[in-house]
Amino acid sequence: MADQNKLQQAIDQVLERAHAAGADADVIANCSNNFSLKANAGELDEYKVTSGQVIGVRVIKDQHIATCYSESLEPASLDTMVEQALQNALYTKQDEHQTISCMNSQLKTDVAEIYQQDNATVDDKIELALALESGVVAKPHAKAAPYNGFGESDSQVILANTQGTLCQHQERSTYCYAYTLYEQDDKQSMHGGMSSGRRFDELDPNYCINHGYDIAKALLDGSPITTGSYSVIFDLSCLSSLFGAFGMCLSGQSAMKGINPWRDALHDQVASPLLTVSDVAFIEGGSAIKAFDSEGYATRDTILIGEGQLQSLLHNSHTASFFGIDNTANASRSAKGGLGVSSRHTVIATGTSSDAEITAGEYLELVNLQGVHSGADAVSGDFSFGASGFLCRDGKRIQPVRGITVAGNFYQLLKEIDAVGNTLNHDYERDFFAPQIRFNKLSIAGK
Amino acid sequence: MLNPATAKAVIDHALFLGADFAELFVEHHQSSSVELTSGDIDKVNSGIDFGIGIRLFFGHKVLYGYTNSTDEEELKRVTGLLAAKDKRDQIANAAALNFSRYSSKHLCKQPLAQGANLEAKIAFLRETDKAARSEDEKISQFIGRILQREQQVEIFNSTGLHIGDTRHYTRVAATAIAQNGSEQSTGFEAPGALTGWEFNIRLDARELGQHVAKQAMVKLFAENCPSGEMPVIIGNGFGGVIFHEACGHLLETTSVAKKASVFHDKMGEMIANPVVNAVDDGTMTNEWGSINIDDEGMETQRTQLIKDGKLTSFMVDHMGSLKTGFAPTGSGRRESYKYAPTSRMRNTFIEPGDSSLDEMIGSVEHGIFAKKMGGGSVQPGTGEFNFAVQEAYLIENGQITKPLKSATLISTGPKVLKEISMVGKDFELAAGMCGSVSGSVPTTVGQPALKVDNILVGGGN
Repeated sequence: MADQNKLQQAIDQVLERAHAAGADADVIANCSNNFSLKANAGELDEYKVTSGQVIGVRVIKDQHIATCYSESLEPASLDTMVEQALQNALYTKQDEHQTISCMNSQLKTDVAEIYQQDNATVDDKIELALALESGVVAKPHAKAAPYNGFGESDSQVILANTQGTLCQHQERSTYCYAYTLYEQDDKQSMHGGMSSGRRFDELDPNYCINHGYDIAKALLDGSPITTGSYSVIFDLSCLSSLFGAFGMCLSGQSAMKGINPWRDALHDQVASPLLTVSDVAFIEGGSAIKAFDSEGYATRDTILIGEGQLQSLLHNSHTASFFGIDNTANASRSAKGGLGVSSRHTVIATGTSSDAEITAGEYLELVNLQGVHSGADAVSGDFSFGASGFLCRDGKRIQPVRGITVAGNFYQLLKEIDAVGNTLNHDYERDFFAPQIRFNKLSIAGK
Repeated sequence: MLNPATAKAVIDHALFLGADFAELFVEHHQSSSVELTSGDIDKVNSGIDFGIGIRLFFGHKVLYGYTNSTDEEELKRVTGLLAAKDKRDQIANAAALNFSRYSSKHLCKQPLAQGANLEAKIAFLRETDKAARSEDEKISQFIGRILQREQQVEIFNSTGLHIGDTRHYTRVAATAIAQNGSEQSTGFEAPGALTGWEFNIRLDARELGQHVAKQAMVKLFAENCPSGEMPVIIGNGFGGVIFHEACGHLLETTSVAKKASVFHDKMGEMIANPVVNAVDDGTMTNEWGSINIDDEGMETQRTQLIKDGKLTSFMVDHMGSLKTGFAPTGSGRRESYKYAPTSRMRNTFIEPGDSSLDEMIGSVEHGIFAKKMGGGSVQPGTGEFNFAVQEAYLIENGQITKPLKSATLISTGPKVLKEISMVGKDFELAAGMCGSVSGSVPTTVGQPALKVDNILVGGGN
């Protein structure tokens, strides 16, 4: 990882050059060290040690905005980068709403849990990687663990601008996963389990092994159910994928571009009164904890949908200025790109239904959605995904289900919620927190 | 980009540490993009990526690392870190580097390094925007983007290989949005080629704008797609994504070597209907998925995957070859220096047959014409796949009767290959990006229209 002084010198040089050219600018510098392992047939199959750095500048001159980046921190490369950004800006429209507006922000993420001492050795990590694979294949009918691995990352972000802002963030994260390919009587099924945390000893390889194996085994004899409408409960990773695919509806930037179907729906009832969705800056165990957004503003909590009513979209200073409303400090920008908006932790508030109430009667529990990236039309809300799971009754799985599609319209779906559970859980990535939600009557295509 | 003496010293160091094989992949990657939204230029971005990937083999174990530095000591440091747990007495010697020359099959007249041509690109986008909005007053938004990239690679390895390539990519993405009250729909096309900005000569800006606008308008008033099993005619061009996802990924040694592909033990067997012939071809002039050499330095080739329904070849990279015994096919690819290469597709397609589209549609009593496919995904272990249909029509009594909203097709690779009963003549290719373990790489999919006798369709009805 590039040292702190070298990064700081690079940032200073870029801001000086931009300022000397009469431009406002902000700079994002990222560097990271990563280590990952994969196993196959009882041996390490991949051993990856990497370190990388990138610096990116956004310049605003005479209300024209452009960006440029470089993976080299050499002074000549940095000068070329600034010059290129200024050249790019000659071609963009004038935009009075996009400015370098964050003044003298000196925020530093000061949360002990995101950067913890970790004394695990390389041997510990190799042992875990091998154990993930061997733990799967030791089980009856587990033909292979075709996807498995361990990884960790130590990353640093520095954000600075010509208005005196200098913000810093550093974090560590780690993960492991294992998929089981289950085979019996010429039939195959596959499922995986994943675990993540901030320290090696937070990882739960046994969960990865057992969860993937148990679900793959249970799905083996799955078959399509009769085409029709079913109540559906998505498992948390599926629910997270679904909300992720339609996240555009909460984006102030999409609204500004005129492609967000909720752009004129502020204070309208867009969902069931049972649904409250917030963007939360800090949540214990969350993976997206950061003191500042990509413009340098302090992150904060925002209620997006309150009891079904659209209360706010996600904004940065650009979209907030465009609409003449408050900035929610959701600016996102990578070193390689332009300004956008993104959520931090999406949190769906708990409701009042107990597990027994949520799972009363017949419903479909979906544990795997396929094609979420391609089968969702965020503009129209229409979706159609491949799916697998279980037909359940009163909380008990009574039949595995595979080879079906689930289809509907996301914006309509949000209005057709039967019940919201009273226990909050998080997905594997730890940036989506939600209780169980039971949706009413989704269209299922099967036999 | 990297001094050969430095490369040789690092490779020697790797073999001194006991590696069976060592490779350096040096990449300088320049990119430029311009985006038009609401009739104005909204974003212009550019940048340079540079790094060196170091790959070592110890038996079948792959060790991989990268750095942004060309410094010999830093490269040796990363090599030492990689080999730390596997260090042993030296068992192989590196051959002297021997620079290989070849003639590029893919000429480029307007490379990015000679200028981004932003004015010409902006004029192109404005014309496309105007054409889309002129198509219908219900077109409420148009977003156009042109991305041009120039990737220079240099590969050194312990067999003495020293080779380089420069790849020029240009892609235009056009999205039109139609609106009727609170209902919205989209049309999307993204043609691309392995060439410079002269790609614009092959494209008609007006036609592109009109095309995406028409697509959005058709969907705006479409009815829900019926659900259930039925015959489907899959349109030409991007319809080839069905083969890419359902079968192509299962024929990469990345899956085959781990026995994570349902086809891993089917070489020489009938895996498809005899009307099916399939190819993965990296040699097609200026096609989006073409390359001169793969990312392991091997000259690429045309690989016949399926001949008259019989499996004839896998797509094989260097490590895949060591693990499976099949000869490499010039298929080792990676997104960038940040990834170790694995076997990947290039231009992958089903070859033309002898049926007409009318004959195929005429043979369907009740089914779907999936004119334009969207993306999809596959689970290699089981072969289960899904595809989104971007533009679909209902077929009733051998006639197309009405447009349908988005739908999904799901099946398994082995099943669908046997359900293809008619293959058309109207062969076409389409550009796409394929994501897998070695990152996102440009690939072309293609096919003539073809008939699948029975496949599960998931729609809204």
